[in-house]
Amino acid sequence: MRVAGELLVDVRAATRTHGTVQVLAPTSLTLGPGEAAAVVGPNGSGKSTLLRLVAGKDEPTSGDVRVLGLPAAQARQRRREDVALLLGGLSAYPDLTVSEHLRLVASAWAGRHPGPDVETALAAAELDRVRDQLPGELSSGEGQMFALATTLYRPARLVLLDEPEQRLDARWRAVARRLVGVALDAGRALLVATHDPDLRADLARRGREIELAAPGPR
Amino acid sequence: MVTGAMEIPAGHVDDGARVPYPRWRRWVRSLRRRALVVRAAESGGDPHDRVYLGYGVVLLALVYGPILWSALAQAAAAVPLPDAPEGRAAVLVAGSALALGVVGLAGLAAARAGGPLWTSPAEASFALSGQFRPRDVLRRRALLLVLGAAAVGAFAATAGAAGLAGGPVAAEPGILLGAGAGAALLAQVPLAVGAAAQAPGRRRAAVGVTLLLLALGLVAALGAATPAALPALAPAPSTGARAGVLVGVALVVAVGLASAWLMVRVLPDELDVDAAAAGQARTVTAGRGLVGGDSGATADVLGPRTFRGRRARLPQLLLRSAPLAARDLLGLRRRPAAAVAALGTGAVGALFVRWGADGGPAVVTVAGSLALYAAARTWSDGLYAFAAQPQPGALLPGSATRAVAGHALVPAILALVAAAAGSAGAAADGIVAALLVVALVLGARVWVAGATAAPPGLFTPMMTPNGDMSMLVLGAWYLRGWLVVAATAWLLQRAGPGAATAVLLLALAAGLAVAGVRRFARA
Repeated sequence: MRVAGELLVDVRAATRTHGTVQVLAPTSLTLGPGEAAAVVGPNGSGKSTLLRLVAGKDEPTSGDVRVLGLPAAQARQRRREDVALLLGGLSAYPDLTVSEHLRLVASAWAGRHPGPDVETALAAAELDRVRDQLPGELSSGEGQMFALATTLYRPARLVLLDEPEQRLDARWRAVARRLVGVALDAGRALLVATHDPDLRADLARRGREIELAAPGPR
Repeated sequence: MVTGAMEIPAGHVDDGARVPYPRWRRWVRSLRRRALVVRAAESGGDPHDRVYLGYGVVLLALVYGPILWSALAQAAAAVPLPDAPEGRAAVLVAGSALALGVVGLAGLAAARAGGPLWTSPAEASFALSGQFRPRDVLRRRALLLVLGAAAVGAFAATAGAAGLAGGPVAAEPGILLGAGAGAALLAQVPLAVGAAAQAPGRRRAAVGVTLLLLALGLVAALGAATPAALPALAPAPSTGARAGVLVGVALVVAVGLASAWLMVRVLPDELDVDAAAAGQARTVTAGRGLVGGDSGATADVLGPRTFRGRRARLPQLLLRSAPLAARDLLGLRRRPAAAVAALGTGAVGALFVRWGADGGPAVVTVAGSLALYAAARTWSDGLYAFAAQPQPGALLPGSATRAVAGHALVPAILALVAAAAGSAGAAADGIVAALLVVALVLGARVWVAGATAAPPGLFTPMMTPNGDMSMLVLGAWYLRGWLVVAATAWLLQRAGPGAATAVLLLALAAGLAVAGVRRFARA
């Protein structure tokens, strides 16, 4: 449900330093329901670090990161049902097929799953061909598309995606953009780190772009 | 299309077309030595580390070898021997065959991990790609393995023989010599089984020999346990005891020599060098992971898991009410052999626990508890897969506690089934003991699954008069589940039945499970 003025993500001058290296320069952003933000910048500029801070998997060195009204680390514990993550690999089971993963997600969320059904979701992600394959049997690109489709299939108000386009060819990048667009249409907030100019443009049209500075000399 | 009397296998190289290896051996060895020195220099190590390592191993063997030998002899002395010669022979055959069968199983597992006849990816590319005959390249390590197996076999058999004879002093030198020589020969069998499992054409035979040894051991053990059956299993000793012994000795010599010959002359030529090299590379990677504190590093040592039952589907009825239990059941249906083996192991474990509770020795309770703990690993596959995920439970609703509880349902039910099978008809004490141990192993499994990386504090150097013991502590961390279960089972046996014991054990099991769930929640 959309609440007027509600902020799902509120990052204020957050920085992160490892030892003597600042991996994230002071960064601020806000994100409301149904809004999108593309986090862009060269390698080492802190895109993944920013997503990890929002996911509550890391603490900022300075500044403040709040998610769903709570400090990010607390939100990770208490509001995990509202946040879907794709940071560095899918949480898959090695002995379940692609379609069984979607079926498990649909059943586990039961009445709270808004759909579509498994067959429609597989078709939308163009994963019909590999529906009966195990995660370990997928090609690199198929695995990435499976991860993205499954992450977007679970209900969530906020979705964090770290370079969802990686290892995808041009055709599947277009499919990935379409899936991201459908998630936005469904009213979800998306924070996406990306190097894909088309996805960046799509997200910028639906929200904003956060450009992180290039890392300084090391 | 090839026509002719014999089909030539793919990748076959005519021996006449191969380059003779002996003249290249010295050159290859000097290349290896130089590469080793360069690699050591690049990594900042000392090229002579291997010399120190060898020195350390010899020193440890000299210090701890006699202690281990005495411990083995004492363990053998505790084995009750029947008075009748047939019974003694049956115990001997059962012990030997079961030991060879179990070591054969280890050989089969080693074959999946790149052993016992090891090679490396570099060697597979540069020395075993067809130009040299593999048995020439691998001859030295095959001989080394044969001698090593003989030494280990003789070591264990002389200790066992001394124990059975009433101690090292009481044992006649002839008996020790005979036992040592026989075991040195028989030790070649599991070694050859392992190497045969590395050759695609002989894998089935290797499995068959192992199963045969285990079956022989079980039949002989059954005979030893039921003296009335012995005359049916063996001919009357008086009619041909001497001839029987001679035939047995001849059989041991023939089998041992044939196995050694296979190991050195035949099997290296049939080795799947690429699979062996890949297995070796996986094992090296896993070893590095373990030293670095990654307990999941061993997951892929035996190669990728094979899942069967692909037509099986998620049980619809269960999927609605308990989706994670439905998932875990489907996972077990896709590993039917492991599931059946785990149930059998669990039932035997429960049987042992019951035996211990009925007045058996403490070692039986400990062995039964460890068997239940081992079986619970397969039942908890879903929980371990959950723990290995980058974000455990990221796709599922609810807290980590709820997800762990969902994954604990199937292991709990299967553990109860195994406990019921093993303690059917037992007295109340036996049933209670089995249930307590089931609770303990389930709690320990949740506790162990909750942490996949060793705490950094374990790597802090721990200086003792014997050197840095931090690696020992790290090893104990990897074995923490086994150690806790073994120690608790032993204490359970010592404390005997009682409400206080049950409450303490249940509290420990609950504490372990809560600690595991907390780790999941923090992940």
